[in-house]
Amino acid sequence: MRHLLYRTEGYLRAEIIGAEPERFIRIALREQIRIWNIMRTNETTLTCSIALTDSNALRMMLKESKCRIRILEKNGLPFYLRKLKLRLGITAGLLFFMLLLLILSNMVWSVRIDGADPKLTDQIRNILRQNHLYEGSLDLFVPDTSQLENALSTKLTKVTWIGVSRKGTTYRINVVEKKYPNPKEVSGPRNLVAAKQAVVQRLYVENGQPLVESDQFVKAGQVLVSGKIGSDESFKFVSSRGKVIGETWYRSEAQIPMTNHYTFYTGKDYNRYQLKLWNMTVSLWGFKKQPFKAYDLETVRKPIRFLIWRTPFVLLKQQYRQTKQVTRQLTVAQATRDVIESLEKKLLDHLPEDAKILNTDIDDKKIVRGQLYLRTHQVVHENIAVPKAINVEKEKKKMKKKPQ
Amino acid sequence: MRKWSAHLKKWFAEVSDIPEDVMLGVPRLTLIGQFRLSIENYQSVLSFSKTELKLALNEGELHITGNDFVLETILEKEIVLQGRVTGVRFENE
Repeated sequence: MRHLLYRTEGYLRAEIIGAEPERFIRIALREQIRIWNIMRTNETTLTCSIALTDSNALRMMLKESKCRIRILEKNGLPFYLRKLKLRLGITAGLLFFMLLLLILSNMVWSVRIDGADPKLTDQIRNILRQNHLYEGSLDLFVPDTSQLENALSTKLTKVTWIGVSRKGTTYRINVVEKKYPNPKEVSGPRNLVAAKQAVVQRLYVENGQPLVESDQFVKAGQVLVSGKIGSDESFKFVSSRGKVIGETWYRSEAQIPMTNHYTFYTGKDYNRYQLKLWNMTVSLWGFKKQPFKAYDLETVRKPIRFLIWRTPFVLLKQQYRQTKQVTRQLTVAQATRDVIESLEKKLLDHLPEDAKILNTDIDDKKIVRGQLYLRTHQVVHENIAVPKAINVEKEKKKMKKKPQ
Repeated sequence: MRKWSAHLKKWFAEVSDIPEDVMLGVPRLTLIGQFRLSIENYQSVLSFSKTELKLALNEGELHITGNDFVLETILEKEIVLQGRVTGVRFENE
């Protein structure tokens, strides 16, 4: 135990060779240099441990005792450190390698998107990129899979379901696209009929015989453009094409509260990173205890992996997002405007693309228990023509019967 | 004169209960079994080998014989010897 001290200071194991090596012991004692574990190897040689001293002093002692020294071992911390210094390159290389392996183990190696067409795939990749998820990104900064799902599904409207799952270093995104049944394209002989009851405004007929005029009231299913052209004697069937703009009416009603309580994000956020080992947590970044008065807290746990193993270390990311509560009192005019706007938007969603709302009339407006109740009707100009196939055989028979 | 003072010291040591080795500057030997011998109050190492250790004392020499001797510790006032001790002998001329 006593020699443990010398381990930290460093000592030599050496052979003292000379005619009378005991002199060296005496001189060492006089000079107060520690020596221990002395053994006689042979007539002229002593083996001993010597505490590390200044090499000049040692040389003087040897000269005085007329002895030579042969160093057998160099022990202790100073020698160890020197050895380490020599191997610094190897050590640094090894550390660097481990670090690289650690980083690579926590990297996203592939992002696979299944069930989306190329355009949607590209769109998804862009959104994921905004959320720090791409091939080669660090998994530690990627949000939770449920958060990713949220981000994707709020931005993608054409998708019925989206699932994000992670397996090792691979992220897999499963997409189910909304598939509308393709409208049956009628390409043979066909009529154009009215989709709904309306007043015809304008006709743009490319092919076929128009049967209605402007300002004419038509019922749903009524033939607008006939696919049969020519006189009764010599006729032929064509695939009629064109647009019939009709004026249609819609009724809608809605109600909204006059006072609204909003909670919205101010845009300020505060991130805190913590490293967790079992029950101990060490803050790495962000030391404020409560950054905001009102906030939403999102916590993401990221276990740190090493190759195929999961280390007990967990990176915690806590995101505080400042929120603000606001109460908005609407005036009647504002509320009305809001309601009409939303009603029109809702209506246009159901109508063909080139439909136009001409005007919205308010039929009824009342305020009941803080709620604005509104009933309106809209006048719309839209294409009411839909193709309908002509049963040629039936039509021919009918024509044959007629003259008889 | 010297003999007289030595006698006085010896007498004082007996009377005052102070250990004699401290008073008289004579060696104190502690032998543990046969394998470890510590000697206090020696003067210097005269010779050392595997089988023999000769120490100079204030008066005379101390010869220790045995085998497999290792000097475990050497300090100015104390020396610890390890090995098999077979004989301790004082040489006074």
